[in-house]
Amino acid sequence: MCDANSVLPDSKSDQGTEPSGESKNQDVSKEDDEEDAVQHKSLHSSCSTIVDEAEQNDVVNVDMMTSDLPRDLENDFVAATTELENEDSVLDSEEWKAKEKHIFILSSSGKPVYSRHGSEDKLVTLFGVMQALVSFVQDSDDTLESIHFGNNVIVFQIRGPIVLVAVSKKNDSVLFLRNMLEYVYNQVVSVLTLRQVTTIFERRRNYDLRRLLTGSERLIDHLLTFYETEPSLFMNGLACIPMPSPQREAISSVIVSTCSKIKNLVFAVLVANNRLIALARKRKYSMCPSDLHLILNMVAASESFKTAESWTPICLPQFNANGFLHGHVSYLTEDCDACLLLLTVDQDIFFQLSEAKKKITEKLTKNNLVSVINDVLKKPPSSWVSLHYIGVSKIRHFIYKCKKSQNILSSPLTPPYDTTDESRKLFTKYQNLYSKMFESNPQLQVLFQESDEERVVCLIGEKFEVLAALEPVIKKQSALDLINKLCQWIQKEEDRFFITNVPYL
Amino acid sequence: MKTIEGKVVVLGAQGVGKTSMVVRYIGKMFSHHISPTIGASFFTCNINKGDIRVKLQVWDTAGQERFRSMAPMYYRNANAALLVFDITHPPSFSSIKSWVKELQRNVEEPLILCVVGNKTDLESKRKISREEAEQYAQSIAASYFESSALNDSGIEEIFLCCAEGMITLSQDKLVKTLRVSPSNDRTENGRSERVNVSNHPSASDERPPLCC
Repeated sequence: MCDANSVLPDSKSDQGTEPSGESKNQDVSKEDDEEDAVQHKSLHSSCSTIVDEAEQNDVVNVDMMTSDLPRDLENDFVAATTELENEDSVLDSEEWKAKEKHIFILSSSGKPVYSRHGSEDKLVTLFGVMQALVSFVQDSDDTLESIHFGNNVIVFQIRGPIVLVAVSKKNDSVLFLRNMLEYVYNQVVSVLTLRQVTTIFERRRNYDLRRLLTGSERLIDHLLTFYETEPSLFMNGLACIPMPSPQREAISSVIVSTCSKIKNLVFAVLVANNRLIALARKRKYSMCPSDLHLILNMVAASESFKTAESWTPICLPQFNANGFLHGHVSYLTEDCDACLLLLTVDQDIFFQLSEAKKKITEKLTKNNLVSVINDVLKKPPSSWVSLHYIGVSKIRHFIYKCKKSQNILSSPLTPPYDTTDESRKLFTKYQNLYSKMFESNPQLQVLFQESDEERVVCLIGEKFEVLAALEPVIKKQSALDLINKLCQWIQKEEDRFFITNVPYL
Repeated sequence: MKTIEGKVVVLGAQGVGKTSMVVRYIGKMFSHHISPTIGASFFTCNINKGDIRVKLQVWDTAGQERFRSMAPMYYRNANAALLVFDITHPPSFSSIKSWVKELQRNVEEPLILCVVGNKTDLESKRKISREEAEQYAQSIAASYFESSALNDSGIEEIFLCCAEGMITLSQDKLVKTLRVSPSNDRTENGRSERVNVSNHPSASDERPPLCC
């Protein structure tokens, strides 16, 4: 932790604090001999698993990598111990293999940190392989980015002493998986701060990071599901609870007027159901969508906030990766689902914030705004936007992002997308199209994807980005006309759906 | 009515049931699905003892190692510490010993210590005997309690002991962190002028986040 003033980043330089992922620590085998023995002896079995699968799929493309796997490592193979047999049983488990997506975190010396499925303890073998692949490529002054075989893709992210790996069997785009790993990395930083992560590994390269992350695995689990189901994460936008703007402004002004005398308060955030209700910020600082998503994730994953006021340290990596903000976290009232976070750089003003929170609740109750919030939260998301009412019922689903405010609006998942399976399929199409759009050079403005099920469109305008799914038979021009009509409607109703003006604290 | 206001800090390894204990006492309930505390939670409760009202400000801290470096923020100026361990989990018992050492090093004023062996509902899996724990408690001049947040047994006594301890402490002129007010007018309207928790920590209070 650093003192109050040094936590506030320079408003200009706060974006560039992360390492650029080009760690050149390649002498892994020289440092931790004991550890490496474990990794190497287990390499054989796991390599064969990967190769087996690769053979089935014929083509293996390894980005940024020209030679084969390090064969000489296999010579270090030592007879399997009982422990390793247990590991094999996880690797052989049909249930484990059937998972569509795996996420792993390891340290650059190959120590397991996290596995989304299965205990990372039982997967030491596999972590050894991942570490070997990464360090082998690093040996030739290169960075391993992804491996492709058939519909499978493995994406690697090396962030200083931490290696993150995503494995997907469902044709996810590299960009989507890379963003996902970025979120996971940010979650780790948010729990520990970058400074702490760096210091630990500088002192001991084979530190077991799980010691510090215990209890936080659920935050990562939750974040991954959040990322897969909530489009605002991969589109990097803020999703709000729709509300008439005079009421939203009334809520914000209660918060701002109550907190105006509190020094060092950086953000006041009111959230519910994974969405933003109101936001206020200190002048010069702004809340990045990815930081807000970490806050939403923490609130949604922590039942314990409901029982009492909490005084919670949280690092927001885009704001300042090296220091904690201290958050007074509490629900507005016992029967209200809106959670208020007052984030400060001063770790000693809990009681001041506690008083402020009491006053905010009092004022909101007096002005009937708590019941306004409760009423809004009671309405199902399906009632927020009616495509039929707008007159674009041939559009089945859409996601709209306003570029200026970074706000996102998406329509409810109605049939045929009302099942988890179908909505995931649609989101996969969206993210693939969206990634293609961003990888295109020069950037395209509109991209269509046709299939028997639907026509998916990605449109990037000067002020907005839209992803939409329409009925399959519709013509391109009429699809564009409908999307235009939709966008015009949203722009007219913007005040209700978006927070266009974030007041200063 | 005389009012005494004091600070209680709840310490112990993760998963021993600190939050469950406090929530059982203050919220009169128990949940199997409680999530780990992040940072610390703050509760208040009043205990009336004869013509004295004791207001407890309870800081329920997180047991995970990553919050260890923030503990001084919570035990600074505390008047009582509840040191909770899980009777089925020996490492959690060792952990309170290191907490005690840390408190002895860093807290200057007299501190009421209560050692609490939680989870007596798991008697069949007990690894730390009552005698062993009692003996240790005695050696550090602490009271020893056993409790079960699940069955709601033995918890009232712990908080009562804190309250009684504070009444005794309040007669000690050396104790400056307890707030004693003869009439209840000011405390009743919720105003608190205590500033000790708002003291700025000096840079030397900041310890490196890790001791590995």
